[in-house]
Amino acid sequence: MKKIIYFLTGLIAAFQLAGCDESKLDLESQSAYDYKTYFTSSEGLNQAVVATYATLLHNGLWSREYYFIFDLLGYEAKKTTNLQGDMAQIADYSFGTSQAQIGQLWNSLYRLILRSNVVIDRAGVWNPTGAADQQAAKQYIAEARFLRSYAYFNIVNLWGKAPLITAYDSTVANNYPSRSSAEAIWAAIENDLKLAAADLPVSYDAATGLGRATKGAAVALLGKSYLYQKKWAQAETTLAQLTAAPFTYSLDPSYENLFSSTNQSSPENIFQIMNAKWTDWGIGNQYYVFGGQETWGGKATHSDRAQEYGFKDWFNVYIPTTTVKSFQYPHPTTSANYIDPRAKFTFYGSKESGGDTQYCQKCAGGAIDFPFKADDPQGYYVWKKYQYYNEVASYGGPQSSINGQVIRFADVLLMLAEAQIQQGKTGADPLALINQVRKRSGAVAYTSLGAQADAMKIIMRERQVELCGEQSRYFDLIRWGIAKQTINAQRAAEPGDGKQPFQDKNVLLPIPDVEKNYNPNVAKDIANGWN
Amino acid sequence: MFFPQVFAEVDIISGLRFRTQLSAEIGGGKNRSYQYGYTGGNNLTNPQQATLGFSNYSFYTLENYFSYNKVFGQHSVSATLGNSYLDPGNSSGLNATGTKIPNDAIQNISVAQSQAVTGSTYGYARSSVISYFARLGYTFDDKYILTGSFRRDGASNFGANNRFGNFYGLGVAWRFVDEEFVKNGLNFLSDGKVRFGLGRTGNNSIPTTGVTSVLTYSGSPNGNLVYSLGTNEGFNPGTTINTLSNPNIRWESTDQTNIGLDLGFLNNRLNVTVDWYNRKSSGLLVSVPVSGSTGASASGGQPSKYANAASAQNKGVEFSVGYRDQARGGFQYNMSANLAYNKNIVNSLGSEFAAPIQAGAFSNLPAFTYTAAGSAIGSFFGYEVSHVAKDQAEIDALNAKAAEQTGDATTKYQAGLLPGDFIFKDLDGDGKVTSTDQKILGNPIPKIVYGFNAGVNYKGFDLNVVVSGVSGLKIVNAFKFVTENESTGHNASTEILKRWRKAGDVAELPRAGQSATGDGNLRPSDWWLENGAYLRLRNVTLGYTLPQGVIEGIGGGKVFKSIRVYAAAQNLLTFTKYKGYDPEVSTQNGGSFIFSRGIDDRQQLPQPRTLLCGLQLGF
Repeated sequence: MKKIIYFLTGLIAAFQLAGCDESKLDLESQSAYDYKTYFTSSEGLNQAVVATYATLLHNGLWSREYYFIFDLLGYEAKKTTNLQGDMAQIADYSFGTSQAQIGQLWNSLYRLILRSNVVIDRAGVWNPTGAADQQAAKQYIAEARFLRSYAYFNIVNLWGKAPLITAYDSTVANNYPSRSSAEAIWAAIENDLKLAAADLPVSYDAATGLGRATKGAAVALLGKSYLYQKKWAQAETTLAQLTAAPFTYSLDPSYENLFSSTNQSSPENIFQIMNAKWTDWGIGNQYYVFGGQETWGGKATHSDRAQEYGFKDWFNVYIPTTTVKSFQYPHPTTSANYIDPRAKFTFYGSKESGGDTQYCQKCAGGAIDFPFKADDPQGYYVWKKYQYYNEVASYGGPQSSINGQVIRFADVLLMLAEAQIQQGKTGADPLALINQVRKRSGAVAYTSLGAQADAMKIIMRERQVELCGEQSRYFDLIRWGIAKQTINAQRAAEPGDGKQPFQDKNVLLPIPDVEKNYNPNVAKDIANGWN
Repeated sequence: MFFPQVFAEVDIISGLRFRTQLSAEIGGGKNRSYQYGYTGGNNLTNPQQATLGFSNYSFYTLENYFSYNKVFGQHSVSATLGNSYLDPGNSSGLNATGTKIPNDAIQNISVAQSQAVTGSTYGYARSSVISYFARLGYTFDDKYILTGSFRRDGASNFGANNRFGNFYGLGVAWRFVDEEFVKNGLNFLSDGKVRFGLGRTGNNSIPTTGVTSVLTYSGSPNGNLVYSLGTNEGFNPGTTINTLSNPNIRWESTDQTNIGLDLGFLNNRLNVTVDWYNRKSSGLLVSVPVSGSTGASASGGQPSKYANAASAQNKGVEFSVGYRDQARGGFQYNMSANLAYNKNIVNSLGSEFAAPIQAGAFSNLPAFTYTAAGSAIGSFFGYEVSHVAKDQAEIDALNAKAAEQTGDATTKYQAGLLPGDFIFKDLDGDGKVTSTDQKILGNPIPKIVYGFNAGVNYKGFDLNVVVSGVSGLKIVNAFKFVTENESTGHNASTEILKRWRKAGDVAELPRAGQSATGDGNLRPSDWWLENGAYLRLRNVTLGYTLPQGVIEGIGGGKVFKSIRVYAAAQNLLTFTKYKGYDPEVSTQNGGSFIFSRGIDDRQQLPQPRTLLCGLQLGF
């Protein structure tokens, strides 16, 4: 017996010596990789790039809040009584620094930057030897540069000065980055986009790569950046590149197709947000857009825009009657009242408004008349663009596969025309560009643009009508410097509104609490508690 | 769950013994749920689904030590020297979700026509810790007691350079009751002892991986990070990072000094204990929220970083008194009461963080707590409400005064103020309400904790009562976000009838349709805070033990040794002014206990009132 005890003691003591081996304190995670070792292959790095794209669907961005925020602020959407809570404050311009959607937008844009920085940092460390891998690394870095500049493009336009973080630091030694000047941010954007344009392919294998950033996307965003900085000549030469080889962009013959469930393959797309149709609760949650991205929401990439805006579903917003009226203007040649044909693809409404008067054209039961309510004091014009009521009478939940568009060819043509007009060229070139866009949707052609001021008015209306509901107008009004007068005038005239909420400070968004509460260097650099 | 254990002991020489022990814990769980199809708030439809999940864990602890105990006349010596190893073990789990369930007749995953693994976990059950320890005790004449201990702990939570921490304890006690001068001069004392203690302890309660290094992130559960690419928009898996590392993180340590006095009177029927303590914690281990521009968070989340963030101090006094006695006829009773006073203050935020740490945001409202040197940790911070604005004339008057004071005609007293809104106080007197008009409004750490316990035994009956309470604290009643405010479409309580409705109303609550974020009426303010004091009858038990004669009557007394029946009530009564469900609020859902304590964010279930009857059989 004693022997056995001694034996056991010896055994355990031996085990114990092993136990005291201090290497037992070196525990590696068994459910995630160390970032230093994982992104050292083409496949690993590709996943880091995919994760960077995935940020485009995060809170504040394109799965939900992005269109709400900028349609409401740009007054292309007017709240219905269904729109309650904090989102209604965006509609009312009564938001402040704690506005959740604005904080989320800020955080998600910087998350997009972090993930881009990770790709650039890791691809630099990877340093592969094979030619194919070297090519892949170049492409991944270029994609990350494009996405990073897209984030900064939003940041500089919405907040002006902001922290400029262009390198990955796993420990974040500096918890409190200061705000960099808008000029420094613009310079970083231009630099990134030039490098990205040099290394990105003109196209990818569509079956696997559609949706990734292309050379054209980088050139388009670079041209747009020049335009926003009023560098007209550079904007013109850069945007003009997209109309010639190697690029093959063309206007989609069907304006309606651009906003339909099949818009991902339109020849007009330059950069789009890839939204796949939701299929099953076991795979993804229909409501992942409410903060469940990558977590409780499962695997999902759909957009909830159709559900949020759709008049047969949540119906949170109208299209304002003043916006509807912008589709009516004097006929270019006869000066009679002209209704732009794009009205029919943009909203449902009365016959007189030019909006579509039927939906469910592809439903089994056939087309249904849109129940226009002539006595609705708010107007009762509702969104058709980015809806698919031509296919079903009601969605029953967020599941839309209609892709969001960041830049499309028509936008480029109009920006190119604007860059020319801003330089005083109001002749045949911009006229042809504008008429090219108009002709596609069947709008009558202009015969001349007039003097520069008139030409600008035409281009402004053209952008408003063509890009209505594409989160372009708010940015346009701000950069044209006419946001306050335009939005206040429009809202003053709008039935059910009548307010003039746009204050001078609103040309920038407030620096959100999510930054200033945790960053004293930013907090001390904010004027009037706003920006 | 079970706890296997083997050990061996060897006596080497008289008083010296070696013991080696291996103990383990093995456990696991199963969870399943079934969700009926329903339509929730905002018309969110959810179809039926079922989940099934299994998890298990196991780990062991190995201890090896020499112990020595010897008495030499009046000298008594004890010593221990050894080491231990806490194995991190393993924990794993798997969850599956079933959807497309035809109907509710069968309610489990097996009938689901679409089934998917919705999560898997695999990792360590805990941190691994290697310890070396020594303890020495010396007693002279049972009067003078000296103890000293030292331990060196190494934990897997920290980087290689900061892995080990040294901790110690020193204790001196004097049983003065045994001294002659006490026996002669103070003979009413039946027990008397003073104690003095000094020591340092450590804390390593942070995750064991992913703090000192950055790990990959591909969604949570893994694999949920996807983006659609290609014409068919299939899901492509993505992997990135979403945390920040802190390679320099180290043990949190607490230096404690305490002095205590134990007294017994009336043959120890009456006992009194008093303790004074001063605990200084430095390098508190917490996850600190950091700015959004760091980008290191999941969608919708605020980035954060584990750090040794603050040094704080708790000082206090604890007092307890107990009395037990036996009256004639077998009537036994005992009672005791205790009272503790504590004061918490933050001494510094350490070297890593210069700015006050703000946390405790809920329902899209901004941070409610504020941690900075000079105030209690996790203090509530915000504005003070003056009253609800009666009409535009009142606001115009305020604005006119603000314009006059600042010399700028465009100055408004409070941005966005409309009739029916809360007017906040201009605490810094600059004529307008801005962020500098916020102040510390209170904290959720009770200043006083007290309790009372009483028991009675008589002729087989026993009765026990436990009462406890706290006072001197504030808690945030986040229920008010729905019950006393009409900014969103929620149902409210009848309190909402006190809201402002028309110009001229002198109302308690602001108007309906107000702002739903922290820029308006709902901003952090004393309106949210309530007195968190309570007195709770925690437990009452009444039992009856059957007389021995009855037991002997059952099976000749060979079946049972004892039989007791009892009835108990838990959480029977609560006296509090708090208007939420339960004043015993711990911490915000998912928040840290240090920075988001005392925020009743509607996620915590109130403690149930439990009535139970029992039968206790002894064999």
